[in-house]
Amino acid sequence: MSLPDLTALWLTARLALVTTVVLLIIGTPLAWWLAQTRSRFKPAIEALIALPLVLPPTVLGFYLLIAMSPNAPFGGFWLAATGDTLSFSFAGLVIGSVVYSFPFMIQPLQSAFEGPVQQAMRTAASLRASRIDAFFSVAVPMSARGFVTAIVLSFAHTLGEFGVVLMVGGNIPDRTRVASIEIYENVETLNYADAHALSLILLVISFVTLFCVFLFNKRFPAHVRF
Amino acid sequence: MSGSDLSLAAEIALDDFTLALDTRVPLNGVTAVFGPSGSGKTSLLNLVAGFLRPDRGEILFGETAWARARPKTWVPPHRRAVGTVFQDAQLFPHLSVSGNLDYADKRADTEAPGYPRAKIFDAMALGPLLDREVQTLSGGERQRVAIARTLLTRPRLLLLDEPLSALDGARKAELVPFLETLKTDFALPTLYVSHDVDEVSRIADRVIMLEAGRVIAEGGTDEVLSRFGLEAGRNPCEKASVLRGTLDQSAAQDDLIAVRVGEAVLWLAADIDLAQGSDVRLKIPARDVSLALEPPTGISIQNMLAATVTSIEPTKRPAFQAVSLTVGTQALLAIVTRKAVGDLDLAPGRAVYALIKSATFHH
Repeated sequence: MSLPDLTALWLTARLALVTTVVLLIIGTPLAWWLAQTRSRFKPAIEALIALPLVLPPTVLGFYLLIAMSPNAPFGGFWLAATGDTLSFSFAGLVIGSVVYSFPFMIQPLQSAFEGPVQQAMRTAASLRASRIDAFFSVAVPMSARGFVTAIVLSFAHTLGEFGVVLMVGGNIPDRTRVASIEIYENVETLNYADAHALSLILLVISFVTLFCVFLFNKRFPAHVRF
Repeated sequence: MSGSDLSLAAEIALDDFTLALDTRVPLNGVTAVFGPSGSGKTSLLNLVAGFLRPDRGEILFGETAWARARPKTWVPPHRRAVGTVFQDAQLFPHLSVSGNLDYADKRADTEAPGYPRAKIFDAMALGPLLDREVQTLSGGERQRVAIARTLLTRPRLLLLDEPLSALDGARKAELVPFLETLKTDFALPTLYVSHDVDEVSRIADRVIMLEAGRVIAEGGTDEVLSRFGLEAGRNPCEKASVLRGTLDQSAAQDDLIAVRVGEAVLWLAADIDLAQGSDVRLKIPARDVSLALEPPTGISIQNMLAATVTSIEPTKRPAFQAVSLTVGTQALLAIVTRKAVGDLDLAPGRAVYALIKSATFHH
């Protein structure tokens, strides 16, 4: 295998990792809010979060591209703040991937946080645990399975991303050319050998990741014992 | 005085009704919060524990305001000197039995007087349970662990939410002695939610009786229970219910007095010297209540109330069963034969007509 392949693969892994961490940080409080809110805006917000599941990635990518343009308020603000344009950059890819993989983080967490966990939070409060203490000592361990599922699905889904990345990041080697685009590029240039190699690697990584989730879910009950 | 009371002067709108309280609970002994399901008992407990915020009014623990509208005061549940034991124990599934106990111990109120760990473990007979997984405990064992866990937090007020209701008969009998030990050995002021007369009369020193979100009676256990004909352990065939109604002199005719009970009118032959509109109580022996699926015609019984079956329980005499009914928001008990229950296909939720053969004024 030639060198550019591994560069693309490394970039993909970095993107998936950063995206998953960002999603975990913003997704956890949002999923927590959704699990316990009685707000009348809840269905609208849930629908909005689920949109990437049904929307063509090109539509999502198109809107993101417009928002990231230096002429748009968000893109302009980014340029002023960081001195770099958002479109066709790694940061832009991360934002695109975060939006694209949002439901894969939120939905498993939200269902893990509902019902028994909310009752357990009251129980913890009756045992003098503050909300933040109870969250980490009760809600998180009781939701361990939800966290594993959410993290792995977000990671794997970002690995497989193509349309949004192509729209937002273009196809700049080293910067925004991720593995899925590299494969496309190889096929376009009739470089089937590299396409084969890279495809197989992605297939194996994705299978192993998902296999681990199902194995974990089978081996462990809904929560982790400490 | 107020220094040693839990003062509840609060209102909160619930799904079906408003829970409106204005009562003081002395901070000693066991006070039962008693009433039918859906009367607001658990919501009362949740107001005290801090899981519900009152819409109006205030909740004072001694001289400390736990919840008040003005000046705005709110003490969150984990800072209240109160410990709740939930109906279904609510042990943490991700911790072992000792993990659950340690969880509470670590967070105990170090300024409050506590009990030695050994005393708590002894009282709840936890020795053989400590190394067990929570999932392997019986219902009664779970409750013992839950009670010990709550005691370890050193509460100054204990809330027990129907601790026996999730247990079957044998397990219930197993746990009751532990509840009595809790009362005698720990002397913690306790609010005990229950809808079971036998339980209340066995454990409580005084009773707050709730119905549809209002306190309809409070006082010493025996006094309140007997006022409602609810003495425990009596021969079931001597049991009686008490219905509240208002005197309607304008409707009196044929030497009968009319008493309105909800929508219905009961006719009584009695000399009574009370003003129009007075609240009266009618004592109705359970043996004198018959049940019919349709309003019967051609019958000498004049008094009939539309009712719904809530539960059917055996009595000490196998031929008879006790059918609990609700009439509007009030409870009515009928003793009928087991054969009749079968023939009429009675079951909880069934709409019936309660025919009342006799009723006396009750003071």
